[in-house]
Amino acid sequence: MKEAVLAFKEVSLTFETEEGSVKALNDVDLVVPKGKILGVVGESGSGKSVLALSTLGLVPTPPGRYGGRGSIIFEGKDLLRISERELELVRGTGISMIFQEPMSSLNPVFKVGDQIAEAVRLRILRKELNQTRSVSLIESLRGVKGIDESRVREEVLEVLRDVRISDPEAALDRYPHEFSGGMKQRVMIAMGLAAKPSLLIADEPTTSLDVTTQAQILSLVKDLVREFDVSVLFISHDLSVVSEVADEIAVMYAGRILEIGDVRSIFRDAKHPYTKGLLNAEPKLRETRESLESLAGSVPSLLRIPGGCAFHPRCPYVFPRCEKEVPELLPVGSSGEVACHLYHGEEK
Amino acid sequence: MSDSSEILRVEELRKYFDLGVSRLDRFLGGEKEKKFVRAVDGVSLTIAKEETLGLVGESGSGKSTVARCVLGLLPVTSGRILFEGMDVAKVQGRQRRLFRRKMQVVFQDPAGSLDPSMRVRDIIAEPLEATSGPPRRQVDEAVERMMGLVGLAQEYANRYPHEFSGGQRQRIGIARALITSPEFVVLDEPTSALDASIQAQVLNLLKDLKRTLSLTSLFISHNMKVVSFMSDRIAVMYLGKIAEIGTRDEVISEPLHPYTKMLIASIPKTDPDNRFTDSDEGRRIIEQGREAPSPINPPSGCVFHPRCPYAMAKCKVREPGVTKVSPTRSVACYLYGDSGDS
Repeated sequence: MKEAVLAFKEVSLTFETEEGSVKALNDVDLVVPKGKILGVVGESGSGKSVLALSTLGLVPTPPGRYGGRGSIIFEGKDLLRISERELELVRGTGISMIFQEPMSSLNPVFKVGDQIAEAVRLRILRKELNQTRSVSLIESLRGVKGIDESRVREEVLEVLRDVRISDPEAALDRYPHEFSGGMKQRVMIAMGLAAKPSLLIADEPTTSLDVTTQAQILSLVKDLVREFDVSVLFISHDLSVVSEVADEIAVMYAGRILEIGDVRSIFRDAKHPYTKGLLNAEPKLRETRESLESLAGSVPSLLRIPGGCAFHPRCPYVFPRCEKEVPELLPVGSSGEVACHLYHGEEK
Repeated sequence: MSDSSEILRVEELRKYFDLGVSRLDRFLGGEKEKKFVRAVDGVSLTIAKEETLGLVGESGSGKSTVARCVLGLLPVTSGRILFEGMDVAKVQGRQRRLFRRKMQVVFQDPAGSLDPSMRVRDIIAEPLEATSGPPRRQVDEAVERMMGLVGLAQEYANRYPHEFSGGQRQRIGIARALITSPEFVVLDEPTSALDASIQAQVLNLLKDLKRTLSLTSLFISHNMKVVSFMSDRIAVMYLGKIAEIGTRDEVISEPLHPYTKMLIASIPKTDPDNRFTDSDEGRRIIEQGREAPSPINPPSGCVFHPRCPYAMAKCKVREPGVTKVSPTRSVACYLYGDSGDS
């Protein structure tokens, strides 16, 4: 059994809306292995972002409601059941998150150095001084009692160097708008690293970036895993981006994991018809083809998930059982699991 | 080279956006110099009949500005755009309407480019009614035909855009663009807002239409894979200039300009045995690249030189001219010659 940093067990999440129940997550079982990058790929409305938010207790309940059996285990604690105070501790020190839009996640009126310093101070407060309070504005300007400010500055410079910002001293005094998109994302990653987390959650971290900048951020993420003792949950709608960095890939559809496996086995020997469809839907750079193999239909609304296997209305291999029975995620081959009736015969 | 099959010819197109002098600067009496964004800075290209030219570049490369100028939606700063020999800037009155029929566009954001208060039927019919105004029955027939062509069921004709998914909305956008039987279509990032499985459907549709209707088009995208799938020829843009232009196979299999090489190396690979993040060569090219400068203060000489692994002394000083390396292929880089006019 591989060692897990984070484990989702039968996590279900429903939002009650005026139009009905939105089933954002349905019995999600997922493990982020230690020291590895787990990529989660899914189209819009697959539930992948809400999966990330759930981990940090960022889904407001209500309107959200978690299913009773589900749990998200991180360092022995169930994140769905711990107190807000304990959750604060996890946010500041255990798990860091990097979002898609670096501009809207950075505060435009504070210098970059001060924003990263806040993350450093929070970590010291929580981990070393055992306080879960936040840092007040005055404290962030004048320093916090009991924290050595020169040490804070050193650490800020260090994380800026870690994310390969070329002139960290100069970067300290700049404002977010003075940085390009890629540099802002590096700053966001630096803030995440300042918490010295054991898990980094990256939710579409390169989606708003140009391809050459994206390439740099992807290679940085891989370096960080190698250099620091950190694991990554990497979420993207883009299968090729996920394949570029991940060790393992989980494919999400309509709030459910349809397939999970080692990145090579997913690429060479995808089992689920949806995974195959995604792989074939992508235009290949060097191939000349008259047409792409495309999946018919479109992603279902989470308000009206089809019965049985959620993918059955689009599946080229559909048979009667698919309409009635939800397939379970079960092992297939040596290194993967798939939720598809094609692979798991008539034991029921 | 004036080919008889040539439909569009863009000559030395420049489009600068005036940023003016900021009020604060004026008040302080400081900087009085006007600033310009050189969105397009000397672009020349031609498109032959029934050909798709892919225009690929990152944000700020000027690819969408080229499209807007070609469509006559933006006045140009200098240069000429000839459509079937007519100067786009000079068409007026009735001719302008004719021109509109012949040149159509599909935009990126299908939600933002469809009027939410109009029925699908009217959205699709509008270009036809606005440019020629045939009898109602004829319009209805045309709408029906178009909906069939793009794979929209007839019963949707009286619905509104919000009732459709992204992919279907883009089909509406395509039907609207094709109803006037245009000679030439600009496709500006038509699939960038769509999910992967839907993108494949729309790309297939566009490629089918290209074949069956013998469409000529300018296909704009930031995504090299998509451009490679759609195009006969590819032009790579960087900071307002064309770095390299050639047939699809030439540009994809043997990129010449260092920027094209970087762009292709940066594409994330679905095949895990082919990742750039695992190869030293790939990482070197990418790390070297740093980030694109802004088109407000473009670098001197070759605009790519600060990111170029092969930059020489002269690259910093003087802009390279366009070198024709084969009958179908030109590149603006000193590595391939020092000809040119600049």
